[in-house]
Amino acid sequence: MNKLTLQVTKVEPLSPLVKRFRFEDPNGAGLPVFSGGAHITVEMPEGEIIRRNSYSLVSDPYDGTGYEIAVRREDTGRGGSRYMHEKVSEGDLITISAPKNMFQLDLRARKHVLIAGGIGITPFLSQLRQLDMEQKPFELHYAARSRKEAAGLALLPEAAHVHVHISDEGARMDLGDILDGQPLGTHVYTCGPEGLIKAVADQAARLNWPVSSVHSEAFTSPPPGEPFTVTIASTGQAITVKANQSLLEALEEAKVEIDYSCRGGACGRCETHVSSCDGRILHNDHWLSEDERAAQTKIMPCMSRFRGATLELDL
Amino acid sequence: MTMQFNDETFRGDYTYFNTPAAVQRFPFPFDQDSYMYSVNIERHPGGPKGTPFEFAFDVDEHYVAEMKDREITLAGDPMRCQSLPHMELAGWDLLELIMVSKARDYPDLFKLHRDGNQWHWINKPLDIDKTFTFLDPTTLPCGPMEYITRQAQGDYALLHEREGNLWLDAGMVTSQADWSLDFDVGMNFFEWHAPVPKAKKMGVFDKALKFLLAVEQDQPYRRLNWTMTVNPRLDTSPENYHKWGPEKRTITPKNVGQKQFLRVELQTFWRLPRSNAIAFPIRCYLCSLEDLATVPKWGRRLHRILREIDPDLADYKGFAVNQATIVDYLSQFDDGAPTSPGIFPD
Amino acid sequence: MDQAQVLLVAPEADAEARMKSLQPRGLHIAPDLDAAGPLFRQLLGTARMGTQLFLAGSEGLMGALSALAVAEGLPLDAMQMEHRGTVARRMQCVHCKGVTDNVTTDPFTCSHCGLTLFVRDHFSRRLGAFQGVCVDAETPGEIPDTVEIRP
Repeated sequence: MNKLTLQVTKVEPLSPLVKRFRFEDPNGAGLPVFSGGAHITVEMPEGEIIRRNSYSLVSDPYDGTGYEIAVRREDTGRGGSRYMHEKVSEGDLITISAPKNMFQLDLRARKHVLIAGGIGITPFLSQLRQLDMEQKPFELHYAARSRKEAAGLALLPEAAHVHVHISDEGARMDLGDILDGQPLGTHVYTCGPEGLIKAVADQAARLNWPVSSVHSEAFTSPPPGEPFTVTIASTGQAITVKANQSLLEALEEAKVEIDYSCRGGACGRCETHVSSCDGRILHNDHWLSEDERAAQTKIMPCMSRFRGATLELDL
Repeated sequence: MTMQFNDETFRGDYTYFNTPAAVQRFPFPFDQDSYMYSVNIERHPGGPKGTPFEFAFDVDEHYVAEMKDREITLAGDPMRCQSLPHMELAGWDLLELIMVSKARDYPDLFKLHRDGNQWHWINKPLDIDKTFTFLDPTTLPCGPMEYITRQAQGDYALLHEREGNLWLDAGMVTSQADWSLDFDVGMNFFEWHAPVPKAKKMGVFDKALKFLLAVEQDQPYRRLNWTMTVNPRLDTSPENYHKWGPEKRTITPKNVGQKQFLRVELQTFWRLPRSNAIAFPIRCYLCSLEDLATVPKWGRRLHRILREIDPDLADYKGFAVNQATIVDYLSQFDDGAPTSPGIFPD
Repeated sequence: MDQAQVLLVAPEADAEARMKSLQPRGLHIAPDLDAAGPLFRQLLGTARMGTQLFLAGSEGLMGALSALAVAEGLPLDAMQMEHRGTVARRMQCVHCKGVTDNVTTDPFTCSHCGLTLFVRDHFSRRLGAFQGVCVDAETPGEIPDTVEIRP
């Protein structure tokens, strides 16, 4: 896992709930360029805990002078976004991962349709540069509750193919309208609340779009919950997962190496085998199948938790 | 650091040769006395000074001659280099990666000056001095992947990631071990590996795909693969099989030492930043049995491996028909003494 | 059927009439695969996302037309194919790149360059053909017995 230690050079509010952060190399060195839709993982050390959250890059992917992310404050989570809003200031040093991309544009597409709900606008912002270069037609549909909350508005160009739907103003996004009649070779990309992602997928399916043309990225971060303990099979070590810490974060704190990438339950990289389970695994991921969840022989530590007597991980 | 480049051929009169230094640094692929398919992956670059593992894109005494041989192959068959339209960005990524690496690692041979997107590239061994605009294909004589791979040893495959799979959507393939880019372009990971025996049953390719999908920017890896070739021929393509195939049957106990070559592929894996594609360079090294045997450890080990190898594997790696002659020849170098673990000479 | 465009390639005597009775939106006839190509491309040009393609016939037909469809932007998973009729294979000679249709034996002779090729079980969706490789490269003149290709 490649990490970079960068300096926070700018923190600016984009809306009442959203702040934009800019990171640069403290020695002025160039940062690695990346592909539109990429994200970085930010480390947030607080006392004994290090939380890690993934955020989409919103800056120009070919501009190596700095990286920018936009973080929406969520008060019901385990505290990651609250930390970013309250504890991170200009001048601070921060550790991030190198960029990774699970939401890249399919450059074979003859047309791209981008659908963003709320803070889901962020990955599309870094894709705009690539889309301009591609010189292929695209439409961007951005749905937000109110103009005040639409943090991405300031960062979008005014153009015929950029459609803003503000529900407060009575403009709802009609997915059927958007998808119907698109030319062969169109790809649709959705980022936003789970409900929106599902609605687009359902509409596309109803119109017989093949799944390979439908892409999505969900923003999920590990939910907090009751503390619980897990055991490491090879050493017998018992690790307690705190209420506002994910299982993956607790394992990392105990120096147990787990491979990871998205930290949001979508990519499958942290999949861990369970050697013994007396209780119920609370699966919060999108990776395991229904059967796998029922069997309780696998767990995704980035998102899932446990309630019961013993959970032994095959590590 | 001045490098001497061989004046040699890889076809026809086959004047190819390895200097003693080249033999010593040859990437011998076997780290123990028996062979099995394995994943055997390591971080790259990184390795002892002077070895092919030290730098990102190894340049050796065969550089100029290999690029000439590539030119001949391409002139006869332009379809050895193909890039589906959506892979142009990946081609630029590869061009940047190779130019930056070569200029950094071999400053006496290559120079790269960048002013924004205005680049100036100097390739001394090939006598190239070129200014062009990065990301603007009209400023190069051909596509970016073709442009840079005509100046870099080894074959290159660019893989497009989609649907949880990798798709062979671009490549420059002129030194391959018997597979056709023209036929395979557009295939996914499992489809283009379909002809490999046994591996499917062992789940090797599922693991390999999972690994490749997890490769991240600035975290390249490498592994070694091997086959055997009669004569130091780079173009062992299916397209020209009817031309080089007959050479296989010309091996005799008298000439096997000079004409039978161990062919090692140094495969590296890179996640490209702008396209998020995977670059898969396959660098080919050739060494005759005779030259290999000048390293006592290698003579012993190669004999033991080829004597015990699974016949299906010998067939797939293209030397089954000469296996007996090869093993016989190598037996003179094997006194039964133990060999040290690892691939390097003692 | 009222949403369907049907393209019949070298149909049997009563096929056209039978198809007409199902009242598709459009019914087109092409005398052979060569003529079908441009017509097929034209029809695809008016298609929108959500279009499903069904191909039924020989491997040759399915191979050629599916490759065309992919080139026109139709995703692979929007196609369904069902093999009907001859088990004859569409083969590409890896040496001269020529395609030989209706191959029923292994080995067979390339209809373009004349080399004797064995049928490799390696299929390219892009070309819609299997790979044929010279069978006697190492032993010129020594050719294995000819066998019929089985499905």
